[in-house]
Amino acid sequence: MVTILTPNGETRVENAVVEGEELWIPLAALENATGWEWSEDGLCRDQLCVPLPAPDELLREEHGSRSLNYAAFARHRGEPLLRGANGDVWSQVERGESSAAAGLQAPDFELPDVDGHRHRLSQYRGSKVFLVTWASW
Amino acid sequence: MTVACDSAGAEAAAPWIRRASPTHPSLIDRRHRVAELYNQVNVPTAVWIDEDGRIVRPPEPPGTFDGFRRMDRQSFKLPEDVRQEYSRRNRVYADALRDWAHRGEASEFALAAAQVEERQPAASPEARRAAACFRLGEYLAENGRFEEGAPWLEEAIRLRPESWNFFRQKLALGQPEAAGGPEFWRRVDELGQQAYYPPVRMPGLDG
Repeated sequence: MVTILTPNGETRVENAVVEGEELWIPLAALENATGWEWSEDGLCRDQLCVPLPAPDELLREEHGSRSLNYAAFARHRGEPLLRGANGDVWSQVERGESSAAAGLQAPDFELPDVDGHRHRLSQYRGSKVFLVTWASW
Repeated sequence: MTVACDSAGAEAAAPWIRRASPTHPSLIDRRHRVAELYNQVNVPTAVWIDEDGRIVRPPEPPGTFDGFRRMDRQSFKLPEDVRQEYSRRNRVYADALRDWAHRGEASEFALAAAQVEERQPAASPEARRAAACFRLGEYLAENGRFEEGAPWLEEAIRLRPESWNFFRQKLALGQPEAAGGPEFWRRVDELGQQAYYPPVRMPGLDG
């Protein structure tokens, strides 16, 4: 069982295989785990499709279904995954293209309140929002 | 809307939230996602967002300033002139906020697009990598694996030394009071003449 931390959350991938620095994820689980969708054109996300550089090395077949070496793909993208502890937790670096910080639109997020109810910033469109970050420490 | 950058979660933030009896959403952000999205390095930090989801004031201290550095570190007392300056600055900032609430884009405090762009903090590959390191360290700490997580928190601090959030959160995860303890003060003293909080570029405050 491998946990992948994305900028917006975390997913558990049951049939992921860790071999040293390599992380193989079944294609069927890929989009849910990483946000990347596999297609014959390569890996796609938002409006962007990235052809696989060396499909024979990045894809393999196990027990009748295919897996992608996601760690190698991330290295190819120039944003290597962080491999935590004994390889059971991996952390994904946010893609530079998706950063909205340089623009004027307030980046959206979803977080829980003290009672666990989830709120999105975007659900408050139509109101002015005074957004304050603070900490108990 | 308040967002608690608190890796210890609701347990740490709830007592403060309950004391305030807020009528606004009070959210919990264990992995400091909002600080990453808005390129923030310290708390408290405020952003003003209009009805269309556009930023009209990018991240800035909500009036606060470096007065706390003159606090007596034994008694935690502030000199009277500092206390008055905090009151004054909070009043100026709150008045500006109210002016915007009533007058919208006609308020002088709502900035034009060019001014917002100029004041926006820059994103960077180091900051993105630091945030991913922080998430990993925080996940491990949150799941009872602080010793495995600590090196990742330290790497986040190394990649983003300007982030007081990372530095103080790591201290707090080790021991809650540590974020305001000797290690914190040592790092503050190392600033010398440099500011802890940036100037608040608003008439009546820092220009």
